[in-house]
Amino acid sequence: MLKERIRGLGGFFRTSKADFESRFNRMYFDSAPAWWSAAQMGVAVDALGPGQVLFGTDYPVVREWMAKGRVIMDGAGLGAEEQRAVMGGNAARLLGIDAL
Amino acid sequence: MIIDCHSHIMDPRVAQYMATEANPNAFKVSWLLDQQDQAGVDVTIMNHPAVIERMLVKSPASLLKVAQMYDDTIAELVQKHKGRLEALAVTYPFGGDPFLREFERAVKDLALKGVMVNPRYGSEFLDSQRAFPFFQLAC
Repeated sequence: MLKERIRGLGGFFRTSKADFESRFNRMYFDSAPAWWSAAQMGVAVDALGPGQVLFGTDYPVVREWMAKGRVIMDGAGLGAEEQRAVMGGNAARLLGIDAL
Repeated sequence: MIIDCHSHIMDPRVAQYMATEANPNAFKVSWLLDQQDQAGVDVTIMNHPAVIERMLVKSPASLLKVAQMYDDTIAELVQKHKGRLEALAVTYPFGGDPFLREFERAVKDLALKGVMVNPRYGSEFLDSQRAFPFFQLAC
């Protein structure tokens, strides 16, 4: 829905649908800071797409945020594939990080 | 593999140039590694674009030197904790050629994974034409 709403502004910005799609698919959103609810993160992944969201915590702004971030994402209701992508797969692909 | 793509570590040599005090927790690499273990995070991507933003007030003449210093110190940490830590460089996106060269050095020579920038530095936003060369290099 969020994507559709932004795309709806395309005319305002003189951007074609195809142009918007290609640009949007190069945008990634990280989940930091770890103060969102699990439900909010579930909505974010659903709206933006599991391929566009990266797990992030903003540690050490609050020292416990790294652990809390994991708890939030674990409760976000993501499927196994979505979890793998958001929790590391997307970042590994985007930044060229080899699997351990 | 679990990757936290957004965490921060600060070196005291860099922190002295910032207009506001760095979070004291950010100096403790051992704490970060402990938190990784407790949270089951395999790799942490460190970034700190605020270094440059906060320097604009206190030490504008030292921007390039400190960007180089930050990139060097964070690359040392990545080497020391290979497989656990990765990092993104800092830059001043309106700084022109010297900063573009440093950006290239950080990625090509120091093996940092990219660069992170803030949406604005002082009153200048990233849609400024002065940032175009930065985006041309980054993209």
